[in-house]
Amino acid sequence: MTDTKSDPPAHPPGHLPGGTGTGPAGGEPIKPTTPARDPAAEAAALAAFEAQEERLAEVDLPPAASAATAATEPRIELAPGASGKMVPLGPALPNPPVVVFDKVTKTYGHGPGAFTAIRDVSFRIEDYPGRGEFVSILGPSGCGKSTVIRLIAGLLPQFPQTSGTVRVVDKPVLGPGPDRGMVFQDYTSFDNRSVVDNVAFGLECRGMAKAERLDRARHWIQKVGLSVKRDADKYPHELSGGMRQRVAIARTLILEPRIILMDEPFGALDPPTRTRMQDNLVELWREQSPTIFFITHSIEEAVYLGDHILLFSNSPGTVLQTIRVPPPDRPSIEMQRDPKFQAVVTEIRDVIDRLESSNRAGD
Amino acid sequence: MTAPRGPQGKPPAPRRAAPAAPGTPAPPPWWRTLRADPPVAIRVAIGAGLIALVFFVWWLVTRGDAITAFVSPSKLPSPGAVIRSFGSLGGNLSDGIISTLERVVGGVLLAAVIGVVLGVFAGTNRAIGSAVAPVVIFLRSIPMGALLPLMLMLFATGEKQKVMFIFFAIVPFVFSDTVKAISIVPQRYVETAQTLGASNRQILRKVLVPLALPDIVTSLRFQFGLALGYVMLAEAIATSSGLGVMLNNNERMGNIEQNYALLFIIALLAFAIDFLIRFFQRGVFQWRGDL
Repeated sequence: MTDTKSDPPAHPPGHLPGGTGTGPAGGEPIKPTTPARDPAAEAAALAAFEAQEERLAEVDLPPAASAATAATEPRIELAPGASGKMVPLGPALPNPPVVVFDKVTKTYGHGPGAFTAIRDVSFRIEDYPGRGEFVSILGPSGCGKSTVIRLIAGLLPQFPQTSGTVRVVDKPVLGPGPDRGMVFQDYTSFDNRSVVDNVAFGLECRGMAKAERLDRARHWIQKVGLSVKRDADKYPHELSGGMRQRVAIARTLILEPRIILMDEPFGALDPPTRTRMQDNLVELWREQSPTIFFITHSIEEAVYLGDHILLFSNSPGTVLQTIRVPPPDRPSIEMQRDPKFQAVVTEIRDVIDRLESSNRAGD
Repeated sequence: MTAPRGPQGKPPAPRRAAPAAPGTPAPPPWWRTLRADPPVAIRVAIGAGLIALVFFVWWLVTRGDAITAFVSPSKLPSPGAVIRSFGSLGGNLSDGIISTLERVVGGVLLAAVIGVVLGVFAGTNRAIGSAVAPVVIFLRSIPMGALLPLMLMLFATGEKQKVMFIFFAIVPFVFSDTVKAISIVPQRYVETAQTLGASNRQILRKVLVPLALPDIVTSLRFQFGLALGYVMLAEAIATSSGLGVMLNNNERMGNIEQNYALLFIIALLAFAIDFLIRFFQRGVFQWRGDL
């Protein structure tokens, strides 16, 4: 699940998340990690991280976002989520929020056999002009993460919700549409279509002329890191898992959707491929600025990719916490090597542990 | 359908391996490895050897005349007699093959058009599926032979009767296989198409039918083989030409050599047609690695 195994032996052992004890990959003898962390050293690390963020904010981010990551705020920002109240995640904005969930519950069946997938889920993702949010959804298996994004997508049988309201750009969801692209964990390239025809599928459905749509598809094949010359005419059964997911991403992004929903898209990929895909995704996200909802089991992935993280509880799923994290500023492998990054991961892991134990105690 | 297709269950075909480093144990030979294929030359030799053995035993038990042979020539003629009778089939043979194939192709094509179209609709619209299901279950449960008298009563003894017999015998199976082929296309593909803005019609035309088509053709290929069997039954009654007619005439005239010869030809014909359809399938559906 985590990518810690590929970490170089550079960072201090105190920052190894949770003391997993796997040790560096370099073949050195495994040192026992010190269980107690040094608060002073960590405070210093935080300060360094914040300073760096501030620099970044000056360069990259629009004012709305830099306000949210100002140096005076804690590095990760916790907001109560389970109370059922709306969670304000930033200053009020002129545009309606991209996605609003208000006390959304989904129950299957009736009576004693009924199963509640999510209960009273509330959150709100704002529309920052020119900059889509990257929302990582983190939580244990079967906690209803998929239910949330399938409700946004309007896909049966999760859609429609049993109670509560879901609004996307101030309108209720009526069904699936190309404004909300989706990338699944399963490989969903249409087997009977070549790569270029797969990527052009959405444009074909819109009735775009063949020459134009193939032209655009080739452009996108290249953007997601595939070779037009070598890969465009291949069929899905000739592609690796990573290449198939690149096709799926290109096929979605070519339609320039406002929202992209990704259900563990990199879950089946090997770690090196995964980090490369993360980098590519961040690059494309910066360029096109959609709002991305990204489900993952990996805290590292959630922290690296996300602007903020929606932390879900065990079934029935609720939003336990909304956590704001620093945006990705370097390639995944580099950023994950950073002790400060590891500190954030460890901190979130602690938050999860604490929330889960208190959750269990409450049962 | 999400996993790459191919003969994945088996161990990989042995390449000519580089010599192992000294001291490493040699891998076990193919005859001690479960599910490993022997080299091609050995496989061919085994197959050819078994055919030779069958012919040798056949020759052995039919050696001599009607009295000295182990098996009477009226039950099993010698290989030589069967081979000689190929020559005596002559022009009757090609006429017989053509009229038999005409009936089979006619019946299968009719069943393909009606069975596949209905199947696609029933597979995508479950209401139609529920409506057609009782009829299909009824037709599937009738033994083929039991249909024949009814066909004679409905369509007399002409070509129409034989074509319709084949049609009714196989159309329920073509229909069910088509419904199945449509329903096993994973729902993820439909959902993906929906989030890419495809309408229901577009999903049917661009996703479901193309992905189900290879399995539908496989079903038709199997049904074609079965139809070749059914037509022999239909040709046994009041028919003037066809392979089934020839078999029956030989039976009446006690021409057992020619009957054996005809069986070889029919088997060869069935194999050749199956091979041709498969060749076509592999060419058209190259994106399926497993056909």
